[in-house]
Amino acid sequence: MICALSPDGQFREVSDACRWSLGYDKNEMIGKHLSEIVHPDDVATALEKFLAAFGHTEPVGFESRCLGKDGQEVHIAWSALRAATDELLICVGRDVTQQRRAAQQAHKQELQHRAIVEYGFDMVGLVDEQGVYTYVGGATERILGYRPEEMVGHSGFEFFHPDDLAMGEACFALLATQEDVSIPNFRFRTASGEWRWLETSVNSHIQDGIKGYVVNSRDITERKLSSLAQSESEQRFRVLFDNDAALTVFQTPDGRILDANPALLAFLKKEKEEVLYRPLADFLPEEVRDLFTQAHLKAVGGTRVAFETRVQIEGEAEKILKVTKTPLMVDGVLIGVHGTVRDITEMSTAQHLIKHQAAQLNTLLESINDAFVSLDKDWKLTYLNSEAERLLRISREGALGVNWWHLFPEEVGGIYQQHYQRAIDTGETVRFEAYFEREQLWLELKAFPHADGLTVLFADITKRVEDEKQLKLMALVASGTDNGVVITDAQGRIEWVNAAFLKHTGYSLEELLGRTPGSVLQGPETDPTTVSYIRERLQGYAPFSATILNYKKSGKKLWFAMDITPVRNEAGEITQFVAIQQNITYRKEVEASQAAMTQDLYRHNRDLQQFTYVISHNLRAPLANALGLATVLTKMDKNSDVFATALTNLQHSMVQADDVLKDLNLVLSIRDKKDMLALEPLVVQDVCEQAINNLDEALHACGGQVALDVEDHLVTRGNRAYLYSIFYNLLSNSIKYRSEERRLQVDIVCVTGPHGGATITFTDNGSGFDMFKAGSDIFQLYKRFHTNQRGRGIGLFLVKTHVEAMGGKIEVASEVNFGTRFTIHLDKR
Amino acid sequence: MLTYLIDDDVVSLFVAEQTLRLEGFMAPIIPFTAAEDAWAYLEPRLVSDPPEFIFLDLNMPVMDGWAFLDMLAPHAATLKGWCRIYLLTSSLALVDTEKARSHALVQGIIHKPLDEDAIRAAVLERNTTLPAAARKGATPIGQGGA
Repeated sequence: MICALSPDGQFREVSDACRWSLGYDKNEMIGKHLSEIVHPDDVATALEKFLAAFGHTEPVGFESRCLGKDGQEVHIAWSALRAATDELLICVGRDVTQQRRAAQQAHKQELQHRAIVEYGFDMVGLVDEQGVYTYVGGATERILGYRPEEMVGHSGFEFFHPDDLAMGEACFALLATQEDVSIPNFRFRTASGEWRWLETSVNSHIQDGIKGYVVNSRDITERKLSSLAQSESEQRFRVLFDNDAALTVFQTPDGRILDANPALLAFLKKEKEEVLYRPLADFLPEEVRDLFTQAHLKAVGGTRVAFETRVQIEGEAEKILKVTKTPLMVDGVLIGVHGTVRDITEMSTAQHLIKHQAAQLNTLLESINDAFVSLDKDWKLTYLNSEAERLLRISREGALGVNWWHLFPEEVGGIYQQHYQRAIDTGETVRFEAYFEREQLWLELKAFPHADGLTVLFADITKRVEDEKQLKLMALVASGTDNGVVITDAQGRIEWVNAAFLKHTGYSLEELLGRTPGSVLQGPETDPTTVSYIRERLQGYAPFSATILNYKKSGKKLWFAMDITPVRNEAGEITQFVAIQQNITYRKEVEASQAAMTQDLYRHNRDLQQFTYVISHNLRAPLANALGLATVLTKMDKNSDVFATALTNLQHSMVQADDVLKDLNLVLSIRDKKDMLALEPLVVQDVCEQAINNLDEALHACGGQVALDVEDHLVTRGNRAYLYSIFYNLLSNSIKYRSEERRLQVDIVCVTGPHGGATITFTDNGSGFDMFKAGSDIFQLYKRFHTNQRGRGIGLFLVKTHVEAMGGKIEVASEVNFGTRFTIHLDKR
Repeated sequence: MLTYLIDDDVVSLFVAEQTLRLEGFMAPIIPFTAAEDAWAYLEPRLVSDPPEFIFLDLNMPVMDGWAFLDMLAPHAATLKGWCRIYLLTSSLALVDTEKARSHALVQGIIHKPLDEDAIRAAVLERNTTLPAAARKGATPIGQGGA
């Protein structure tokens, strides 16, 4: 295109060629200013160049971008020359758009290449045939940390890991026969000294006639490591899978077996090929199939499932299996289900056993009668049994885990803490007794230290302590009292006696221990009734009292009033007896003398009654008669026979009254003399014969016979007159009351009796009397039982009085019309 | 008035009989020295001819006064109202007096010797309590000897 420009830059003339380059018609272009078609960015430069051309004679060339009619940028290469004639500038414009675009493209490409090389992942370099770097660029510095000059001139193999060097050199050697080669996976040292995994491609390259290689390397460390990790993890998984003791299976979502580990195969007794792609359920016992299928479905649903079940496999013991099913998801998609089955029979049994043992232990701890608490090293309560709860009045809920001394702040620094601390410090069990103020209890404690803290066993001994106190008091009383105290075991054997008992009995403790009191102390006159009473009551459970005659060691009599109390244990069994024995010998002696006195008084009283009777009857009878007669006499004819009879009777009555008075005197004299009676040895035979001789006449008159049988040399102590009176009166009675039907026969036998004194039996075959009717009256004064013989009723009374005056006894037995027997026991004296 | 005297003491019997006669007892007075003899005599006559008075000694051998009364006890209904029994005793013992007072058959107790006051009291009591019919046929006592 050729155009003419005015100095102000207006197009004056334009060739038609403008249509081709800018799209404008010739006419459209003429009149336009330069700035209308030049790219605004280039206007200033273009104007400057054109104006410069006006000042030169030489053409000025330059390029500027112009804008075509269609808006397209068009590169124009201008050549401007001032026309000499006109004030015009002749410009030739050549469309160089194509050239310029190509250049721009090449530049851009170069920039892109450079960017790619500099900022890409790859490291590039050039090496010669020996592998020595001639150029290093790209990402090399960024990745390996070497500046290019640090590598250029060095062989690439210098940076290889020794283990990979051989492989690298072998690859490089291949280039002799082929255009390119790649070196995979080798380690390359970085500037910081660490190893990076690289992979490299090497391409042959001829430059300036010299053979070299383009080396393109990439850092694959991350990939390599992750690949290594993956392979390792796969390996690991495989090992786990194969060696898992658990039966492990990998299943498809529809339940078919994808993989089964050796344990499962062994369990199923199958080869792997036999089970692959078959449903697991096929190999399970019927009764658990449903369970497994349900679990599988649940796992397929995305939930991990775990359950335990009992399985009975034919020919084996029942097993407890723990099954887990885990869904395997990859990117939210279920690809299978991983299942494990563990035989936990043993574990379950063991667990069961442990639970059982724990329960047992708990029961054991609970069943310990003693209270039981366990403290850890920080004094925290870790366990207490219910007895401890009861005694300490703390509840498990509130107290467990609480510091002991917070529970019992009042005991801080007290006796308990001292002892516990001692147990912990010494590592030895500490036993002690202490008073627990809060609950007012005496406790016996055993503190066992151990690695985890301290265990304390304790029991309420309040009762025992109190009993001991009581016992001490009792012992004090027992040793201080004058009463004998004996403690025996349940069998009555002496365990302990007090000093007073030893003093009273005269025995020493050694002589008494282990023996029963009765076997030591009882003697001939001990009442057997009392002994059996005591024996009987000892079987019972109640305290009782008894009075018993014992004998001292010296043989002297010893009266004891005993209070015997059984001691029982908590079970109610008798363990001991405690007997408290009061020495009542003196009292007994007094009692005996009182009894004797009473007896004496009784006899005196009886005698007085007798006297009253005698006076009121036997003495008054003749007096009454006399009185009556005296009255009658005054009214009678003194010459009548009746008067004479009355007078005789009066006289008789007075004699009778006199006899009675004499009798009374006799009786009283015997009674009074009794205590001062002189006793002498009497030859029984002599006295008896004397009495028989004196009655000889009467015996002859009735033809009676007396048989006397006296033990040789029988002597008794007594009063001769009395003994004579006894024989005389008895024989006189026999004669008087003999039977009319037979001849009188009297048998007198005198022997030494069982108590050492003389025993006299006096037997006749006379009329006898009715024992029932006579009763106790037989020996009474003025009692008569016969009417046919005159008697005053004094004979037997005198016999009895005489016997008793000599300290003897008399008994009688009689039967009407058969006879009478008197038995007399005279005291030994 | 048939009267029995029962006493083992013959002097006492003599005194009693003489005193009764001096007081005008004309009808037979039968003395017994033993109670068993008196019972042997009385038993067949209990209904036909019972005594109007019995003076009975207490203290006798073999059968005493009380034993004699025991023999009569079964016949109390027959004797009641007709036969009057007085105990005659030399004893002053209170026990005898008490026992006599409570005995149904015993009219009273008389301490020996039997004297005219006791006899008059006994007769007076008989006359006031005896039924009229019985009294009519009976001989008034205390007048016969006057």
